[in-house]
Amino acid sequence: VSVSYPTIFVLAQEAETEEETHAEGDEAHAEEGHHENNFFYGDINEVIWGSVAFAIIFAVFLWKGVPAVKKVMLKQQEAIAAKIAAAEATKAQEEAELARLTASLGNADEEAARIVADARERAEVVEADLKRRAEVEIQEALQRTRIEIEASKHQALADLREEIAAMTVTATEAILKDMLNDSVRSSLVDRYIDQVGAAS
Amino acid sequence: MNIVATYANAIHEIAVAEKRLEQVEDELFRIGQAVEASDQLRAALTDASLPVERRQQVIEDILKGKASPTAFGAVSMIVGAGHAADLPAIARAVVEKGAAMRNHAVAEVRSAVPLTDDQRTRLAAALKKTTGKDVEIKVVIDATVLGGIVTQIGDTVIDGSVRHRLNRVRETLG
Repeated sequence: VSVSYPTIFVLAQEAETEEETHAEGDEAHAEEGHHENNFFYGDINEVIWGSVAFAIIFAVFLWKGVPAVKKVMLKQQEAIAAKIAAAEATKAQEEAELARLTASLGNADEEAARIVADARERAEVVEADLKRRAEVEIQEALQRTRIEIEASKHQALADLREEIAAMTVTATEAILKDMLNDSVRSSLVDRYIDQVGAAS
Repeated sequence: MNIVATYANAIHEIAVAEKRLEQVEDELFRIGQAVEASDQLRAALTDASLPVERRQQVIEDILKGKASPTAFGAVSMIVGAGHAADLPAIARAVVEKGAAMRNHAVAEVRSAVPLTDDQRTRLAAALKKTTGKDVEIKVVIDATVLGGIVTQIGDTVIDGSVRHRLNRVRETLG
C-alpha cells in the first residue's frame, strides 16, 4: 500500500520492456531456429510464464493496489481539504479577532474621549464649587470684619462715654465738695429723714 | 461658737453686770469703726511682729481716759489675744446683742457730718415707720458719702447719699 503510484508505473514499464525484450528474443530465436545460445532469444517458455506472471501481478495490482492507492490519495485529498478548511477557519477567526480588536480600539478611543469629557465636566463642577465656597468665605470674612469694626466702634464709644462720665463725675464731685458745707450737709440729712419718713 | 460671738457674749455680760451696756456698746462701736477706717491703726494692731505689749500700748495711748474701763479692758484683751482684726465685727456683735436684748434693731448710719439729737430722733422715728421696729442709731462719720445719709439695717440699705447720686449719674452717662 505504501508504494507510490509513479513507482508502480515505472516497475510496470520495466516489466513490459523486459517482456517485449523477451518476446523479441523469442521471435528472433524462432526465426533463427535453434539459436539457443543467442543472447537476445531466450526460452519461449520463460517468456510465456513471465508474461503470465506479469499479467497476474498486474491484475492483482489493478485489483488491489489501484483502489488502495486511490483510497490513500483520497484520504490525502481529504486531509489537505480539511487542513485548508481549518486554515480558512483560522483565517476567518483571525480576521474576526482583528475586526473585534479594531472595533475595540475604536471603542477605546470613544471611552477615552468620554472619560476626558467627564473629567472636564467634573473639573468644571469642582471649579464652580470652589469659586462658590471662596465667595461664601469672602462674604463671611467681610461680615465678620464689619461686625468687628462695629463692635470696636461701639466699644470705643462706650469707653468714650465712660471716660466722659468719669470726668463729669470727678468735676461735679470737686464742685460739690466746695459747695457742701456743714449747713448744706445737715440740710441734706434733714431731707433724707423726711424722704424716709414719707416713703413709709 | 466662733471667736467673734464668744468675745461679744463675754463683753456683753460684763457690761450688763456693770450696768454700762449702752455706753460700752457705743464706745466699742466707735473703736471698731476707727480700726476699720484706719489702715495704719489696723496694721499697727494686727502686726504680729510687734510685741503684744507694744500693741496694747497703742490702745492705751488712744483710749486711756476717753473710754470706760470696761471698753478699754475689752479692747486691750482682744488685741492682746491677737484678734485685733476681729475688733470691728466683735463691736458690731456686742451692739446687736444689746439691741436685740432691748428688742431693738441697729441702724448703721453713715454721714459726712455728725447728726444732731433731733435728727437722730426723727431718723429713728422714720426708720421705725419703715421697718416697724424700734431702731438704735449708730452714726459713722464717713467723708466719702459727701452729703446725705446711707442707712443699713441688717441686709437693708437705704442710700440717700450724694455719692450714690453721683454714681447713678456716672452710670447714666456711661
